[in-house]
Amino acid sequence: MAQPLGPAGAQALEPVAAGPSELGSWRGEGVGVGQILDALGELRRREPRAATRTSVVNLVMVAGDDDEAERACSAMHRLETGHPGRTIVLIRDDERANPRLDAEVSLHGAEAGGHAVWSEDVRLRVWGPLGDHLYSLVEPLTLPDVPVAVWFLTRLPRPSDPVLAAAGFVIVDTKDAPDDASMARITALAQSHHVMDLSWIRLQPWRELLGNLFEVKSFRPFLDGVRAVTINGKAGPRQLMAGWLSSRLGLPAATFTLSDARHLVVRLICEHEGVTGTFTVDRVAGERLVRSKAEVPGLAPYEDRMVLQVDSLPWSLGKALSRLEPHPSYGPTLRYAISFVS
Amino acid sequence: MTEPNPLFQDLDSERRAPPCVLVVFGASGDLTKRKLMPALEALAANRLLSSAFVLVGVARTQMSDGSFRQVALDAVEKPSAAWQDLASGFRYVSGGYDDPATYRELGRVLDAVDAERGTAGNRLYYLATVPEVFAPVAHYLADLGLPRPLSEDAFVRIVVEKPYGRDLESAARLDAAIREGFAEEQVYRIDHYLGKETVQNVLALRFANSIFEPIWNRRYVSHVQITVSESLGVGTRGGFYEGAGALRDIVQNHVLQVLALTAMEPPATVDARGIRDEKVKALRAVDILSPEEVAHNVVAAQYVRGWVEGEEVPAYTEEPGVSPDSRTETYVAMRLRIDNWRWAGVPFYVRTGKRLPKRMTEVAMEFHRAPHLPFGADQTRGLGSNALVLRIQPDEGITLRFGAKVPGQVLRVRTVSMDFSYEAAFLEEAADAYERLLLDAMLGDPTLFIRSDEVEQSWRIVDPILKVWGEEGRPPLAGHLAGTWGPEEADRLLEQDGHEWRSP
Repeated sequence: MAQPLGPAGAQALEPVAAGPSELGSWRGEGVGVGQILDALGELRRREPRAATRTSVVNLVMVAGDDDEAERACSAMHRLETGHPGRTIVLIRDDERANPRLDAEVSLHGAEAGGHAVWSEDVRLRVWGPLGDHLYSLVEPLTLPDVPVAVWFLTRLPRPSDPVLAAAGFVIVDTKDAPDDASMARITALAQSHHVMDLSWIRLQPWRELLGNLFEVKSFRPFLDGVRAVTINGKAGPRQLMAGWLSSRLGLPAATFTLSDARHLVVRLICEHEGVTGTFTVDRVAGERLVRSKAEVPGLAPYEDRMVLQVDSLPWSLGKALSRLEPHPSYGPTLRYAISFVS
Repeated sequence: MTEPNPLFQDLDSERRAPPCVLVVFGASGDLTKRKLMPALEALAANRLLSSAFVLVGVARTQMSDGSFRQVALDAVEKPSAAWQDLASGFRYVSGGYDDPATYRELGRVLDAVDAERGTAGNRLYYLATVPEVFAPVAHYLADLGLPRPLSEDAFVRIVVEKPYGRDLESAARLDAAIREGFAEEQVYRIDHYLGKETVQNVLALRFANSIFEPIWNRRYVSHVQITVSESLGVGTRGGFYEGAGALRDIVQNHVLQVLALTAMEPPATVDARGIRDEKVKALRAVDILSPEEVAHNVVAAQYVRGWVEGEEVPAYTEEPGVSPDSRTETYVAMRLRIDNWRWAGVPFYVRTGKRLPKRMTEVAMEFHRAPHLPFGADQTRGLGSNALVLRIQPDEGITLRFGAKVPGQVLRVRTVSMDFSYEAAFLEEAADAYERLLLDAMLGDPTLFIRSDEVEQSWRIVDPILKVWGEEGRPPLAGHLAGTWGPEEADRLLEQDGHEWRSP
């Protein structure tokens, strides 16, 4: 007996709030952690304050270059009325032989529900061998008693990476880890840490629409007769989708055909009492819409749609930071997904 | 007796120090320059010192009054006009601490200052020297009769810096030497931790509110964690630290004082006697470890080369003034038990160390889990135990950790924090601990100073551990990388009880 695929009720996704404004900033070259903390304190002291701290998260980003960091920071800024906190960006630069730390610190303000909330950005450029000891910067700069999420932008950490010692949660994106070695690394990470995968979160509309198709009573028996599954999409997400279906429906790998495509398309060919039905979830061409469609001879056609967020990065990051615990299906999905990596 | 000034009593500056001479022994030392002079300058700038305040420095270093005045001005970045005015009257006596001539000269200077500056015979002696000379200074002061007030209105007090002895026996000897000339009520044993606003706030939180005290006991509290961590190493204090170690340097005083304030019963009155009586009772209830128990309840470690706050730092044994084969502990973690009705069965885990990931001090009360969770395991995966965290430094404040429903269609519970920030709530910056304590000593308020029986009880707790270590030629040491939270042995100390250290 196959298990149901997901919750009923497709819905539009909530909009992402506009970003905050910068209240003040400080920068220094060749600085120490003490100076950075002093600068943060000084920036806060200049502003009128509430009696409570409004930070709810420490987000540590390990970036390869400025562009990566900028993109991720911009996504975080879009969220900061909902997830105010301290963002620590670590950019490693190996050009210099001597260890050195350059810092840019900024304080951002926004209004949420009539209350002023603050966020802090600490952007650090780490030179020389200090790059091998990033953990020594993370602990002293994180806010106490606020969850610490570590996000390795475009590269995956080893499970033994010391930066992870300070992390309650690790954010990854399977889209950036398309080969079997990196998928294996995420699987290993997920065994020792709470992993939140942005690709997995972005699959939610597809999973939800597919699950909803089989909430229709007349289609439900077809789920017990899946004969073939084709999944087209980017490496990473397509394997995750295959892993999820495989783990939930108990399907052998031979049932699946995976191929490359820009947008994800999932198609299930199912049989029930000699009738073959096609169940598809795909993107509507040229629109930010995901569509599900059931075509079964003798039954009325069925279609459902879900609006996608214009900017999927802040949306998926916001979902990850709201949840701050791994999705119960993610672990089993990963274990199956690895068999779909060639 | 002079009648109190009725026009002065309702002013905010009611706590203004009376005319007074502060005699600092060790006046050319680091503590005087780094802590005492900046604190005095801040008091002067805030108009909390009398215009008849004189600082008299005593030290072995040869220096003129003029040079000493310059030291006082140089000790602060921007000396206030009030400090510059006061500094013009500062005096300096150079001489050996074991030379009676030094004290005779001091006596002459004090008489002259009284006559010239109107300090009215009020004296506050401050022992800021190396501990070895505490007893000789006290002895020579007594020998010349300097502890005796010159009149019924005048006061003479002595402030003694830590360490107050090296063990129970030496603390008793030091006490006897100081009490040769000074009565107990004249002795102000300083632990600057007690001068911190947030340490005092432990009392306010517990005894000014009705919601915390009812849960402040074994019925609700699962265990208590006290962390006093420093990111710095021993710096230039290697020589001193070699003879001290973390147990003597931090646990015997700061940690046990914070523990006493956390564990004590409500005092009838928040005054010197009320608070100190209750602290002593709490310390007396701490279970003394037997030699066998020391091995199972105390972990000592020393840091090895690593990275702290983005800098590579040497191992303790590579620090200046430290023996390459040193066995001195730079880290201690302990499990203590308090044998009374309130705390029976509640472990108090304390840890302190140098070269830990960050500088911070906190007390965390971890509460029992709810006796029954009417939720599925999937719904409470993100739920930890409730906790009340008192952050003493830095980022001073209080955090309450509890479970809340995650917004959404399904019922999931996750730990969230409610946070009070001192800096955000009060626009005024808290006074430095030394400012508060120096003013208290001048005003004759010993509430935040340590009484002799507190010292005795603290050493009673620490002494058995030192004895075991002494017999084994220093503690069995674990190593931990500088920049980490301590050795695995310390983790196991809590794991045995089903707990784990917080990540502060």
